[in-house]
Amino acid sequence: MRPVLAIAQRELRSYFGSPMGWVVMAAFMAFAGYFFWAAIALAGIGEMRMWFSNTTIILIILLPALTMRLIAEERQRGTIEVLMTSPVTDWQAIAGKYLGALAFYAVMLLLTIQFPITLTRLGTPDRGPFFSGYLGMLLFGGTFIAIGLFVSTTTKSQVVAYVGTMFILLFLWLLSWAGMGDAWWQKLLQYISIPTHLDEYAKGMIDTRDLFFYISFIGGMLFLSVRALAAWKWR
Amino acid sequence: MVEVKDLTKYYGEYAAIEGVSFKVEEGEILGFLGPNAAGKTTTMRIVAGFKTPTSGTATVAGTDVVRDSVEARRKLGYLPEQVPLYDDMSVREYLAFCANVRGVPKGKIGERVDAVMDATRVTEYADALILKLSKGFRQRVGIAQALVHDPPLLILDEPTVGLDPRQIVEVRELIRGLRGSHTVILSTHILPEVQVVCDRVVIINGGRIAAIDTPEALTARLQRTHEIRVEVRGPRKEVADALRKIAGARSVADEEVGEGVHRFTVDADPDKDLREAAAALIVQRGWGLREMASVAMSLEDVYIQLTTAEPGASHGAGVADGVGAIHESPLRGREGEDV
Repeated sequence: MRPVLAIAQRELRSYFGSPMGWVVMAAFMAFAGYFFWAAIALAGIGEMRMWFSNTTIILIILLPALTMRLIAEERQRGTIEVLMTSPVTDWQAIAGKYLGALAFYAVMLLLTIQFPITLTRLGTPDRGPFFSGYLGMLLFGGTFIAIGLFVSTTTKSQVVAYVGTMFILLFLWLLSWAGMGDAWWQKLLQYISIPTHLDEYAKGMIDTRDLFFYISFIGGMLFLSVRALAAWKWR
Repeated sequence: MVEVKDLTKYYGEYAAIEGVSFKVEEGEILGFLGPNAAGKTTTMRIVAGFKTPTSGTATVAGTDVVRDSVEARRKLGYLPEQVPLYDDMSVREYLAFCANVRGVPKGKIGERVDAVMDATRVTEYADALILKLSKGFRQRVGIAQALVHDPPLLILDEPTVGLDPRQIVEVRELIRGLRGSHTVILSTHILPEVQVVCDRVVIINGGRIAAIDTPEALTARLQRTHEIRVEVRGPRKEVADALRKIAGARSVADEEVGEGVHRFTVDADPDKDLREAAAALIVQRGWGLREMASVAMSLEDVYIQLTTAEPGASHGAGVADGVGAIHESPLRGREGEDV
């Protein structure tokens, strides 16, 4: 466990030490703030449900910028050679990287709790959906980060990692459109599509099926990342 | 300490190394000498657990580097060729991270970091960002990193490349200071490094081992001729003929070095030293003997002989004395590209 925490800690530190970390955080806060205040000012909507679903689109653009460097940068600069000749298993390396990026994302989310707090000051909203919505956002972003980490493991170019990840995320997002309907394949597409599951959380429902979906998706992606990392040894 | 058996690594169709076997005894400093793209980096990466061999085995202190990779990696410190470090950390932070990841007990991390910073003399830059360090200091931090968890085995890939002469001397001193307490494998394509630092040398070329021995033994073993050089004032042809007639002389070459002065190079059987006979002869004939030297074959000559394909162009041709970083292989440059 110690190598995992050491790697995660270094990763988190490195986000705060790099321009990219700050740019992503600033952009996220700007858009998140706009979505929140615009909804109140223009439409008079005093709830978070719309905000959760709007913000996810920003994450499609921003989270790949966080994950692209995870392994690709180490590969590009050669630092992976020092890391992987340390007594660290592939799982520990991947888990550390994942947790580091997830922690940074969690900090980003944490900064937005000013919005629900504002709402409770303005009125007396139901607080349940706030908590479930944030849990949903964490799982949702966690899935994106796992996908980004996997893509970053397969290349030594950060640009390729960014574009590849964004493409996959957009694709998974679009699946939810194609899945509107009641045919079995549409339901399947709905299930695979990542944002679908978020909506239930935003409504205030924590469905174990959705929880299972996110957790297993993340687990699957981390597994693929470990395999991809191990595969480099054979090249 | 290290046992490598029949190691082979293919990158696609291309064999980076083939059938490489050698042993390193505890406390020994082993030099890995070869031209670029000879397979040095590939071999070291396999022993360090970064790459998996296509076939063959390697063990570190009895632990197989493939089957029990993490355990084997616990026993070694590795400095890759390009000295990759996290530029956004300070020296102290970086070394503490390395110690932490490699399982140095929490309470001892500070102590270990201070100790290796002291040993590699980077203490004054402890809190500087690695990004700002010069090449020489990066190299030292790289070595410090390999030492921080106090592993019995150190693998250093070209530890002095890109350093200025003073830094090179310092790094060599540092490595020599590890003899006995640590086992060291270091690779280089610089000959004097091997002669100065190493107990034994593995010469590798084209992915295969060309020779393994001590620097001195290698030189002696491959010494096929004994050569003397004399500078004489006198008639060129007569002197050459006279020298050629000395018992044991095989061939004589000459060149003009001044007005009426020629330098003759006399090749002789390895067990013959012609110096006294030649001196007596020259004096007896009344020529002017200006200079005389016995030329032993240097490790450099041996190296070139072993790593050059053309048979004729081997012995001693065009070799400068002393320093020599030579022989870029024109063949394949693929090694080291793929991380």
